[in-house]
Amino acid sequence: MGRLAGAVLVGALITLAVSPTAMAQDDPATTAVTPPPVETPTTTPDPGTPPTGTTTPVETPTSESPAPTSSAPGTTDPGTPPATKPSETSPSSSSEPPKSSEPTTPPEDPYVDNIGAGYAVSTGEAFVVISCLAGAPTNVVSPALDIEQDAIQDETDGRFWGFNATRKAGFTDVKSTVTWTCGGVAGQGDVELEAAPGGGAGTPGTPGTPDKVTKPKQVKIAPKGGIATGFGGMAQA
Amino acid sequence: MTEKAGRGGRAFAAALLLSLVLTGCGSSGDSPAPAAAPGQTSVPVTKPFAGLKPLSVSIPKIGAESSLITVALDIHGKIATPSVKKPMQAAWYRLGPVPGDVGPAIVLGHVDGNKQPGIFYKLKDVNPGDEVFIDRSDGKKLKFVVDHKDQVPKDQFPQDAVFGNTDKPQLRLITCGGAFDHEEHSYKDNIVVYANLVQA
Repeated sequence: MGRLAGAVLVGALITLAVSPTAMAQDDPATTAVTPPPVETPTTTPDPGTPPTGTTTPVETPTSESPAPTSSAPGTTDPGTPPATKPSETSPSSSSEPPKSSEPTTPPEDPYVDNIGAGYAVSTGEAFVVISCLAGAPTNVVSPALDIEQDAIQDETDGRFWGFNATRKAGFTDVKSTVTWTCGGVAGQGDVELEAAPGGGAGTPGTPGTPDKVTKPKQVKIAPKGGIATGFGGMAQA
Repeated sequence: MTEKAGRGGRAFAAALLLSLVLTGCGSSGDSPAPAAAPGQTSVPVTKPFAGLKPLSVSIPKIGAESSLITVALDIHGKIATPSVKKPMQAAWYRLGPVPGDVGPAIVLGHVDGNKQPGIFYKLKDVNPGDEVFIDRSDGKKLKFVVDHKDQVPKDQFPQDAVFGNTDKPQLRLITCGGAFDHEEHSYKDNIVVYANLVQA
């Protein structure tokens, strides 16, 4: 009898699951059950206010082109060719759905496994980022940087790993390399360094005066250029 | 016995329901990804930034409210942004100050993406005096008030004004704006909102 009741309940609940709005009508028996563990560790619900329709849990991209099946350096996704429609439009002032003529290809860069780079500023702060589908890279070393081996996973795409670092005392070059192991495969990337305090050797094109570089920076490493936070889906053609 | 069996049935059904709903609520094609495997295009985030961080941002004036993920630099040295497929997700740049600490805390969000409005779609409508609220992982609830906003070409991005040191806790809200260049798949400008902490 209990099995029959359970089976009937399962069938009913499957039907409910097809209609997401049914979730709002949890009965006490359902909500009292401890849910199975769900791997969404980066979801950060607002503890102070009820969730709204604008709050979105974090998920890593899943609909991109297939990733390479090996960790060989330089392996790339073929990606989707970008649409070419040279014109300039402005964001719509309404929230109506975009027209069908609008761009349909997200311009996200194709994923390349087992590549990386490092960036160091004049005050000594540095950061290394590495793509590694196999998990956190190990043995991350550079002649220019002291690198913390405690990798922090990129919350926008879990295939990328960040490492905090500091410039080694006495290292004055503006270019160096960083090496690592990703899934048992060696990788190597470049490190860009701003001119060291006091002016290092060979620093063409690297701005920074001694006055500026001696002050600790609140933004430890300023990102390059502008910020790409829009892709035209709502732009008016 | 019968009651116990009934409870077990409900528990199983509830677990199944939760599993089905979570799968159904994902974006198209999403599926649970417990571990990296050949051909896999995503992996679960199991080692996110664990330090003090902001958890959410809300701007009542424009009805924007989002949890916050943390971002850092991408491979090219640019700021990483939330996936374009998740345009309603805002992010905090963790290589800068935590909101509420002295310095310019950086919060960014998409103006649009995936052919939908983004979390900062209406950021251009924010004006001086408007309020911005940030909740932090240490329980602090912060209130900022907008001081001013700028619309600047991306190729003339004001690095010092946005990322330079400040003498008090400030907030920078950043998104895209201006004309859209279809060839470059990018807006020409950035909109930057500058706000000051008024209540911690």
